[in-house]
Amino acid sequence: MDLLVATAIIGPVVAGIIVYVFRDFRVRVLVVLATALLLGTNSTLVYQSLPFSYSPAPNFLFGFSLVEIVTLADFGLLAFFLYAGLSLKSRVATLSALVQVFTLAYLEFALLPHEEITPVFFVDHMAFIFNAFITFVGSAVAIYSLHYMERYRKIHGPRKARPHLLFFYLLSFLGIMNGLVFANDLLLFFFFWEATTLISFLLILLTGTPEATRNATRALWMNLLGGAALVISLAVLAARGNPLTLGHLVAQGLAGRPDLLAAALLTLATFTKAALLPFHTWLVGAMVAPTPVSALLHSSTMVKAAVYLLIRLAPVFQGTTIGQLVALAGGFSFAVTAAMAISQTNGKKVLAYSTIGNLGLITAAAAIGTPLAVAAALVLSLFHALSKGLLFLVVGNIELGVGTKDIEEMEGLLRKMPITTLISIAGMISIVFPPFGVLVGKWLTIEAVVRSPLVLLLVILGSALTIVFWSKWIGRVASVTYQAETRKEKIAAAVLIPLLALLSSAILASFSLAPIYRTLVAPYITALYGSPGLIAPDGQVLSRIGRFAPWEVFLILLLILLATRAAFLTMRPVKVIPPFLCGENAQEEPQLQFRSAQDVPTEVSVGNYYLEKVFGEDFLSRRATPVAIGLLMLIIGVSTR
Amino acid sequence: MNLASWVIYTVLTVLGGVLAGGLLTGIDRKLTARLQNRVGPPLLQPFYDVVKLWNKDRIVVNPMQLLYAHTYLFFTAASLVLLVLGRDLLMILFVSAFASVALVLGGYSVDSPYSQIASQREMIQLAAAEPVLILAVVGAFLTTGDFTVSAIAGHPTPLLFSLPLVFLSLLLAVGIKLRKSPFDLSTVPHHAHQEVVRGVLTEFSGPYLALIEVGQWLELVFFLFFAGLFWATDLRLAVGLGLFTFFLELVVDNISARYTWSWLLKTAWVGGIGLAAVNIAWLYL
Repeated sequence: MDLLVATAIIGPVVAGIIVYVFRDFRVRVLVVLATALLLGTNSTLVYQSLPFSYSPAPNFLFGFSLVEIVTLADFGLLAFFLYAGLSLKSRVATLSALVQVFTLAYLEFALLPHEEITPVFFVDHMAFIFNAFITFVGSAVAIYSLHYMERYRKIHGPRKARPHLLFFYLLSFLGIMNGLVFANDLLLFFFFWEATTLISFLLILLTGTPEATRNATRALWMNLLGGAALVISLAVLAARGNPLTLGHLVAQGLAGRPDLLAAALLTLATFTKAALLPFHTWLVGAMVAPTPVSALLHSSTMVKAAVYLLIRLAPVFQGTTIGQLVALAGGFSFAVTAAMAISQTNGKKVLAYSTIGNLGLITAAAAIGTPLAVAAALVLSLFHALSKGLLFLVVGNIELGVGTKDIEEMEGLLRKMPITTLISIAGMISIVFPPFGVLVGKWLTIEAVVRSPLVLLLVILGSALTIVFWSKWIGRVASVTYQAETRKEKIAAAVLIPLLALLSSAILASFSLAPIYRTLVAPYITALYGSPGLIAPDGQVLSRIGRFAPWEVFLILLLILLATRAAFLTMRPVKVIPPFLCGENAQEEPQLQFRSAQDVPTEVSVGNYYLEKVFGEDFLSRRATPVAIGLLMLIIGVSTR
Repeated sequence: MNLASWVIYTVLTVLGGVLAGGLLTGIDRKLTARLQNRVGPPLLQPFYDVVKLWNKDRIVVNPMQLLYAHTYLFFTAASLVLLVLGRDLLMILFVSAFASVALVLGGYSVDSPYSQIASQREMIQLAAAEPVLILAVVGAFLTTGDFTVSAIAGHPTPLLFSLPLVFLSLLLAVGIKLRKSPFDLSTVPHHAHQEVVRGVLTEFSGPYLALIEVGQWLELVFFLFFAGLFWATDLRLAVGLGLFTFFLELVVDNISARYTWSWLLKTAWVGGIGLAAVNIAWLYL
């Protein structure tokens, strides 16, 4: 057990250090591949011994216990944050770091009875689900970055790229995330939580441009605010005589005696980390970093740390007013960000808002806290990680290929980068349409929140808007200029393999949703609530109130492909003509023109609606932020009753 | 249910849907013509049209149009089949939304300004109607305690009694989904209403347009079936309610003019959602 936990946490960090020390491309390739292999094997072994717990010996390292080492590391981290806050002149960051230092000191030296906390690590099916996609998506992103960063360096120069740093952060991040999902001791959890704040701060800062510094600062102060809420919550728990373990918190919730103040403070912490409204700006700003950074932050790490905690806390939220309010805030983030995404021309921004939206949806489900809702939250987390990781990677590839991440300029991309475009279309379909996992999660969420009318309404509005912004984007990249010739796309294996791995896993996992549910999700929910929330006999997902058989829709997809193929053979188009333009076509190459009024040749240009007046980013943000702040204050306020 | 009966159900539903949908479309065109003081085409004209289209020259602007035409037809057919098989109504709505998106992508796939504008409008129609439809499903759930069509249809009292306002909002959403005036922003089925050329269908022609025509018949039957669910205790009444919906949409189509997208969105989101929400609120309380 100790070896499994240690490998998952320390393995990637050591790999990161090696990459940092030996700044050579070949070493990097070797180390990344080895880490992927190691983590993959380790996850398989973890699965075989589920569930298990592990507590390190009292004299863990050189006679010090793990708690002592972590305490030391905590203060080290906080000292760095204090320094960063001061040197970046961010008052909120500095103040939050100070609050954390004092609260932690008070907690460690005055409150804690220094009793043994056991187990320190607890690995169950839910931790494994997170561990599995951290390993899988994380490895895919790392492998993709090998080639990507070389090209990035050629374009932006070595001072901005700094691949040795990027890989050091990226690999360590995987270890830290593993630690976070394995930890049962809340002080240890706090350490990993703050470490994710540190690494994402450094990742956003990577290129060192003024914009990067500004956005990294924002990410830092928002996350430190959350960290302060987290440590205060621990102090509250300790002051009320609770052992500081996640297990105890959940057990209290299950026994119907949840500690609501602590839960509300933890919620605040998760809202900062998941970038839910009103903290959405830091995640949107994080896209200044190279694309693999976004791919990692948005899919398998960082924001998933927040939803991990929320889903853990589901039994605490279940049936409480606070739970309802948190669900409302989650639904609010989902609906508002879906609306904002409609007005964005920047592809990465659309992806960012979609991430926040999905996290809001997961939050809504987790806070409802019924077995069905937890099932929905876990399914969403898993499939969102796969599809979103994939989408960021393809957008990165498009950006390097055609030099833009602007959706309008992706017109005709199907002819310029056919392979990448097809993968991106498939990826976008996998994140919003049936029969794929994210949609199944959304469907489950709607059925799970059906007893909370306001949350339900927000989720419904959000999901309608979600369809719009994805369809718009798919339409734009699939749109083809008349007679533009299809180019052969050169795509490196190091790029293609991670993309295909993510895509095929999203498709295969959606197809085998039932067995995945049975083996991974159901055991956790059954262990928690005594009933599985859903049953998943062969090929079907059944709840008490609904049912879905993925294979039926997969069958239709197959039929469509076969029928289209057959149509190409039997009723093949005999002619390809230019579109109708309300006037004689004046020229067809290179740009289609037609004779308009008074015989003037007019170029044809097409573009999307962005509906700025209704869905504009600033317009919505200015109105939604106060509401979201109000909701959070309400959550904290209600918890003190 | 074993595989054989599954296949039989599917085939019968699709065949029945195509016949009923084609016939209803014929009735629609005839009646509309009469309302406009025209003689109008024969009742079976939609079928003649499809046969004629099928034998036309096979011309495309982008070969990908084939894929979108098939996706639209198959997903519409699938949503109808799943409805008849009694599956989860919420999931069926998502499947039928995918069908609309196929049409949107079909319009997008060519660089025609007309079809691309219509695609955007079709998406706005989708965003307007989808929440109202989902709320109708939620209303059905709150009355029956189940999301599956089989359980909803098997409920002892008609849904209409507990969900009158939801049904009104459903009528609105069905008008949007069937692209009837005043909600026919994206394209118009056949009538001499003014529009941006031929909407999303501008660049579809010949056999590929025929596929979409048939898809639109199935879509019509799907939404009438959905409306009929609100009086499912008696088959005759269910059919009656479906036909009532059909004729109501027909009349409204003929007495109103198209409006702008922002008006559509407001009407659906404020009026449609508002009506449904009030009804649902009294079920909660």
